[in-house]
Amino acid sequence: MTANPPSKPSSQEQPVFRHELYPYRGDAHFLSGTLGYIHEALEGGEAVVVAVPPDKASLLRDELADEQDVTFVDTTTLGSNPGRLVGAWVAWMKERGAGDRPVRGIGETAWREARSAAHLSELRYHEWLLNRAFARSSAWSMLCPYDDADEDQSALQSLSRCHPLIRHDGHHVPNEGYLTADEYPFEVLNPPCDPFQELSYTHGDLSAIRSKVSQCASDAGVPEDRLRKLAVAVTEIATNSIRHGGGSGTLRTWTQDSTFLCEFRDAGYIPDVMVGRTRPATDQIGGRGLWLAHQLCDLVEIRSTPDQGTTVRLHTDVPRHS
Amino acid sequence: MISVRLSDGLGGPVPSLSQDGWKIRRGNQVRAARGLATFDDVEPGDHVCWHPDSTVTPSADVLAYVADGALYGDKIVVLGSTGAASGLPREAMPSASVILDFPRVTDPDTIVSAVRREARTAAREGYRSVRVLAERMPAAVPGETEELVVQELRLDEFASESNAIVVCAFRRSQWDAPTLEHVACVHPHEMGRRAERPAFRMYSTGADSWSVDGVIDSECAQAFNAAVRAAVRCSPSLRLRFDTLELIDAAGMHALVDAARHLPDRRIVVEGANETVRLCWELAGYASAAMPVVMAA
Repeated sequence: MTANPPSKPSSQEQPVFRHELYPYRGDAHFLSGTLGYIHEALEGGEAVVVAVPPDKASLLRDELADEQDVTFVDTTTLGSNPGRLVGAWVAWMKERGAGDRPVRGIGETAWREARSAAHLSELRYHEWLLNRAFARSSAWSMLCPYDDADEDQSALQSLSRCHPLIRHDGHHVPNEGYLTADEYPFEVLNPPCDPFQELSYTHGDLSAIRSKVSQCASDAGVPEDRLRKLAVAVTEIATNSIRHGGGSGTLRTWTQDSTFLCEFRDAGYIPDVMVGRTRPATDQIGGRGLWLAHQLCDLVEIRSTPDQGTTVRLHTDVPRHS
Repeated sequence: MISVRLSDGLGGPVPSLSQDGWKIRRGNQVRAARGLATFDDVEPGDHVCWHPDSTVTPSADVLAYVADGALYGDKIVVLGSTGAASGLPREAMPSASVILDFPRVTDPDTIVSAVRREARTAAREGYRSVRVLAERMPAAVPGETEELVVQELRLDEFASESNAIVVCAFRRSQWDAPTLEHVACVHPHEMGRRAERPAFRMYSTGADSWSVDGVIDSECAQAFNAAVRAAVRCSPSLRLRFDTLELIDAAGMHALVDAARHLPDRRIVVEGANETVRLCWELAGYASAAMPVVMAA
């Protein structure tokens, strides 16, 4: 598994990428903050990309009907996996920032639509990763509106730790609670639900892995069209185990609520937190496995440390039948 | 120097009993990969990878294969040294059989041209077709696997076009496992009750057209790369039919692109791929105008 080296800011220097959290309450508050941010950008000749929930997009469109330099993008086409968002933002920013034109992004996540604790956790991790992804991108900056209507201070605090700046009254201030550490403090993965199935694998076992996963996923109710995508994803992750994770690993599968999970454990270590998050270059050799897994699964959780090895969980939604 | 030796004997050809009928059936059939339990299941147009049982000499299978040739009016053509891999005794060869015993390192074009020439001769003599037995023996020279894969693809084209039967005998004890894997993947048929089906099979479906079935993942990507390299060596532009390919992973896609780039000005059009294969191709970043491989709808 290879990828471009991670772009990470030194804890000693201010990152040039401005990543601001904007807590708001109510539509008027949302509009005042985001419109102020947009007008700043337009006055400075910058382009703006807006990726917010449809109701918020509608509010902004009403105010910016004729503004050519503001582009609204539909995040729903990306699916629910937060692992696809960095790649999407890179593409949007590049598209709008042609000729080195500075670009500002506005990205609001529909936090209340998070489907599980794991999904919520990965959404927060994505926000933290944005600082790494765009660390050396002085031409880009991003505002993350956050609807604080339910006054859940715990949720706000968790999210604010992923943003180096907080916006208040039209200005950003440094966030003292920002996580500057090189390692993200992940939540511990919950153990598999009973019953789970387990398979040890090594070189020559890819076919057996696909067969086991296909059988278990089918039993769990994963639709036929998703089985093929899942087969590619599990092939990629198991291949990484065999090639880079000590030559072997352990597969577990189980169903939890309406999600079918495949967990791969091996002895390898993935030092690059950005691996699989950005679209591979055409001439790139390798480095496509985790990218494909992120694109083909509904959620991907990765935990990797030098002493404990790597765990990758692939989530596939199982349709609920009424 | 080509060494062509005709077998002794004066037996004449057996008239074809159902040549026209067969052609009609073939016209309606799509060539497909399959496993054969015994030589009884061999049909015209088949190109079979066979691993003779080293404990039985001579193999009853090969004797039956040759005897059936006489029954159906096929001329026997042995490629290589008779019995070297198959265990077929020289005295069991039917009259008028031909042995094409080339030096072990010979240009694939020369070998396949000689086989085609024998097929034309057999047709003039009134045979239904030729029944080729390729006695595969390692030459232990650099690039041997690549040459062997090219030769197998050319023989597969020959079998597909001419309705000849080609059986290639590889005795497991004489070959290394990677070479056996590479050659198994370029035969659409394998023979034996315990024959292992290769992960994928690439076989001829017309002029410069190859069908690929099965699964291409990191474990067989090298064999796929070798097969496609061999195909583009023979033709600068070709079609790969993926109708029966279930899955291709990142290593397999890279193997395909690498093979196409191996020689300049090559172009491969992939047709009939399922939705997931097409999606993965696009996601992997290969859906680019600069690519020598095009994933058609």
